Amino acid sequence: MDDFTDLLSFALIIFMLGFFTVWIFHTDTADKSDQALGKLDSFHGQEDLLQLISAPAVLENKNVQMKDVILSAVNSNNADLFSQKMQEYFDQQALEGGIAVYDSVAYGAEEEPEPLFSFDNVAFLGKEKGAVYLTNINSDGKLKSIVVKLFG
Amino acid sequence: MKSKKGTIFHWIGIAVIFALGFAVLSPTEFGVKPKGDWQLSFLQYNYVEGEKQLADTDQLALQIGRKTVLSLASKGGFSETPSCGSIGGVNNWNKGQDFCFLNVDGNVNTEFNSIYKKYDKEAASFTVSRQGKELIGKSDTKVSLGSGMEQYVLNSGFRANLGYDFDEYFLLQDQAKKMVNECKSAPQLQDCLEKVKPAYWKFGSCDNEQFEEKAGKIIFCIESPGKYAVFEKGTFVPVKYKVGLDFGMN
Repeated sequence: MDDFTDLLSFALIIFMLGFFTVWIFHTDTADKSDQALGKLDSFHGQEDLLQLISAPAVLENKNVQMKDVILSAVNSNNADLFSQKMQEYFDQQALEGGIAVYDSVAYGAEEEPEPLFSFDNVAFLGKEKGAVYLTNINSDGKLKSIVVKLFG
Repeated sequence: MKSKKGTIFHWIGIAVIFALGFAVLSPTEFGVKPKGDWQLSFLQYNYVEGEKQLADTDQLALQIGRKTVLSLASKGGFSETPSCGSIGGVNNWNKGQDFCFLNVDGNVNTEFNSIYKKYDKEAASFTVSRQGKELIGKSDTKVSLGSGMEQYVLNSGFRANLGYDFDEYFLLQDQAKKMVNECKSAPQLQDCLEKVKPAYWKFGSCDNEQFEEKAGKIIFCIESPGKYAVFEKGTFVPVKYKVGLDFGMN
């Protein structure tokens, strides 16, 4: 009788061990796949940001890049120019989300800094896709960086 | 006496519980690793960061490049006063029959680095060259991202499209030589120049043209023949060259 109980216990332990192993591996694989997809998504988000700042734009019938538009808007404090060009770009690229521009000093010092300019075409901005620093020779002739953040 | 042969199974059970506990609490990662994890991390933290830095360097170089265009134009293309001298702060292109050699590439390189240093004193020096309307900067400094096995090293150069061609200087110098040759011995210098000079060569100022001669030397403001304008402080600033020509044959 004892031998039979031991055998039964052993079989039960082996079964449980197998069950837990399969369960752990399955969960682990699903987690890792999610992590990899998350990283891939984040990478594409960063690419979207790099594409946005280097995208061609037109100012006064001349070709410039979106970086120029952003810096120009910051230096001349022209929120309308910023919104108009971003609206055009988001429509053209069928992007959903938003973009915000911060002063780099405030961005580094404050927990929730107020953006200099922002634009969005959705009710909720979504998560941050990426951020890039741009060095700016501002209107008073000094170097001052800005931070451009893309959401979506 | 009771048999102890079955106790091995109890020990196995205890061992399994410990093994499971170890697997859960151990910091070591068990299980499969998804493909591309390392590569994605590398792209995310090294390649993308590198591209961001290059985008920033390109943009700063573009801003400096535009300032270089305007600064050189205001000095007749010379980064320093040439041996031909200057009149009222405007550099002369010739002294009598001799034209001062205008080394456009050298002056662009010097002026660009000089302006760059004003903004960033610790910045590396660039070797700047031209390719059409683009400025290309190369530096010995490398940007290194990551550490250990995950290292991404890239050149800290730039390529900036100014939308302006420095070759305009060669056209303007040819025109200047023609004007000097044809009008150097003219009794009425102003009349001669009016006939010879292209319309975009203005006496004195581009906004308020006025003929003024000082010992055979005349200052010109030249509007860009290619109608180039560079983007500066939120607007397009037309390129205007300030040049002095010497028609006195002393």
